[in-house]
Amino acid sequence: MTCEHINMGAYNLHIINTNAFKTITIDINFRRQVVKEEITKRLLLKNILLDSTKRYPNERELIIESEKLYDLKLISSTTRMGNYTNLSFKTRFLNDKYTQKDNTKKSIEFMMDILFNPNVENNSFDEKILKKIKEKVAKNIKTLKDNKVKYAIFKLLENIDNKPYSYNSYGYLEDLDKIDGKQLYNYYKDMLDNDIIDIFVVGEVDKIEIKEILKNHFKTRVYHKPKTDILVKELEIAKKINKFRETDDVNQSQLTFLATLNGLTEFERKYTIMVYNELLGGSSNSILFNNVREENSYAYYINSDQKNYDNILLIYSGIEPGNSEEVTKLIKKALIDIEKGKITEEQVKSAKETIISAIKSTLDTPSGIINTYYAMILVNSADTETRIENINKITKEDIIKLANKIHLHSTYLLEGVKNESN
Amino acid sequence: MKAINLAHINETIYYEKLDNGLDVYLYPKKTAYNNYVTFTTKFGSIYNEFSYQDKTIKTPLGIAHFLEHKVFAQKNREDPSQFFAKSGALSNAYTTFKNTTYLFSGPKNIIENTLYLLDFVQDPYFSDENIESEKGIITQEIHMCDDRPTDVLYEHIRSNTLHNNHFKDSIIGDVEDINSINKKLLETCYTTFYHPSNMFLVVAGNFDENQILEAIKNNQKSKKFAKEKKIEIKKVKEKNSVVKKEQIIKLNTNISKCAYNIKVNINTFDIDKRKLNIYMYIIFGILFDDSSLFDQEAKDKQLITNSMYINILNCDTHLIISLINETNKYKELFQMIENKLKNINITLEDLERKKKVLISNEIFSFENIEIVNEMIIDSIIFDNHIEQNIIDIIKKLNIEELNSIVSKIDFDNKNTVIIEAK
Repeated sequence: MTCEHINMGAYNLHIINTNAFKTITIDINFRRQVVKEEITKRLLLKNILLDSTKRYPNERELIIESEKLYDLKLISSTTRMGNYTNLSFKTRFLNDKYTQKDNTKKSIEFMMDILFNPNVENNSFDEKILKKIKEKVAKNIKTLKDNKVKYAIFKLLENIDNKPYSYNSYGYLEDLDKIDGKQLYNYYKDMLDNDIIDIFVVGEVDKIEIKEILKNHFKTRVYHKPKTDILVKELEIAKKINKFRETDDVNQSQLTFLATLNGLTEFERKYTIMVYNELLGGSSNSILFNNVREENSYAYYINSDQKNYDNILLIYSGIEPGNSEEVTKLIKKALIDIEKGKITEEQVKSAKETIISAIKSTLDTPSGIINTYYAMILVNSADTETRIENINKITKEDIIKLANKIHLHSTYLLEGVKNESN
Repeated sequence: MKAINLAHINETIYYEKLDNGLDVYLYPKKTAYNNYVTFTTKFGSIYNEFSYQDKTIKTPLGIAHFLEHKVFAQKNREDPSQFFAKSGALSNAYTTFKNTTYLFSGPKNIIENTLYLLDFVQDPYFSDENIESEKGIITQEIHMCDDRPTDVLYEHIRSNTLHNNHFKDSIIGDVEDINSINKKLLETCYTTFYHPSNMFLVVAGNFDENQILEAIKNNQKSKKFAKEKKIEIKKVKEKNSVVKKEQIIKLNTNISKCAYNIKVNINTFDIDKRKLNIYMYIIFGILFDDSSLFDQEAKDKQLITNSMYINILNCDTHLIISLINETNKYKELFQMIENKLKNINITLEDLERKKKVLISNEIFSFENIEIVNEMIIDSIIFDNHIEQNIIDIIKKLNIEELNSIVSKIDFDNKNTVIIEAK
């Protein structure tokens, strides 16, 4: 599998030609530096563009058209990668082999219509539709609380001052009222002009045809765009762990930790941290899982997650109420054990193999392939073979060295208190 | 080895029944990097009453799921998750109403790992101590589900709709059930339901079908099993009526979750079950999904922000068709649903469009070995065979048959469940 990179002037086109799929995927990515005040706007834009266009002026007509195109799938999503926020519009549709002729061309044109021909009048999005979209975003903000795991992590991070990861990626209720159709349209224009744009195409495609369709339909002219350093500045090492605690009417308590990564080398950030995280709490074979769940039955789940470009690592666990002190002790002990090298060569080997498996199996899905190539652009990630070679090079000593650069910084506990009112 | 060729999709699945009764399905895919292998017993949460050595056994609820946890316990063998991790593979298991499935995924050592999967599932080690310690973990899992409003909603949909049908009970059981489980009960269930003749293996990934089948055969030949016995499951009679017409449950959530459920007796229809399911999916899709007029009107009236989630649960005797959403205005929404069901008008154009969607979904499934594997499991569990001509079946669906099904559904046989914010 190879990727051809084509400079289209105002954007970059990446075509990955492969016969592994019966579908074609096109993923259009817009990115810029994350700004707290823009999060809600981007979420509205993500939703409103997929709602309707001038040609298909309501959601229903747009959906019916996508079903006629053999159920073309349309997904928009916002993600944050370090200091960048990324808005992706992705479509996936059947290869012409399985449809009537011209399905590819029609599908791409449909996608272009969604991006460049929005339902706009007098330089403003329709206020009625915007109101509907705002309701949807508001609902997502409000239902965050239904997922206690995400909610607890969100509360943990909220306590960190002014870092991209402390922002609420679900948006802000108070911002919703401030945004009208005109402002949102201006933001849309601004995004088309000033965001860095990368387009990925995966499938069995005719390169010339794709290039031609995009040239005719992808309308953006600005060539020079501001770049940002993706890496979030690291937090200072905490002298004492910052403790936050709330109680709620829940059956299971959520215990979360944030650890800082301080002074990582590029190699450690790209490779060693992955193996470290796998060992600590990456799977049901990890040190935390074994110590907290299997040996002590304190928790149903316990995981760790490295955010290498945020310079942090998260640990989160669903535990029996009242057990937080015991679990905290076990977590601290696990971190110290790795620092002291109380890990076996076998554990390191297993963790490395797991990471290598993940790198390989990513290539089985179009999204995984796109992520792999996008990482090469974003963080100058190496090709798959080199990455596997580098993971293989990691030794127990490398992990011990890295472990000493990881420090617990804060903890948040959502403690279950049973309220028997119902 | 028999080749099952799937018409219009250009895919082949291989099948063989081994001497000990084990069914083996192989789906080789040369472009895949990963492998996904599952080993399934036709034993799920609904099999609570069965005959064993001429006695009728009644087991505590949740025992299939408990057994799933304990099958991982080994005496003379390395811990499964450690074994699989050595080659970077991940192992897991899950329990549904009708089956328990053990699996691993990983790009390396497919034969060795497949044989290990057979070995560990076919030779677990139960002890009083390891059973006791599992009770704490499962209790945590139950608490985690209790904290998820949507899980609570689904539990009540079934328990308020079904009288005797075991689909009414939760898969995981409640804390009291779990505490009454002991070694003897587990052994009884294991001996009855984990015989090779009640199980099947599905291998999907990048491998040579002849070579792996040879290895599986040799592995099974080297083991001794009891004589194959017919398993007698106690048949339950299920009334057509629902149990409770309405229930409002107060929970810790921001936005209410609501479900409108229709109970349909499968024997009302003189039609193949699979076809019936497809028709139901089409009928309720056309009436309520994001391409429906209903959706547009409900959103315009600001009753809902997201489209209805349509869930069709096949409970052997009946179907439960649930229309689910999140809204505080559920009364108005239910009224709208009721009105819609009184005045059903489905056009040929609607049907033809949905056929395109269904065909597309079938082809999309073959993008991913994991989905293919799951599709094979579902086919065996629900239909006991793999349909070779699914595309032709879809193409032949017609409006007369559809309308005849609509006319036979008793739409008044329904109930509602609401999870309301405290």
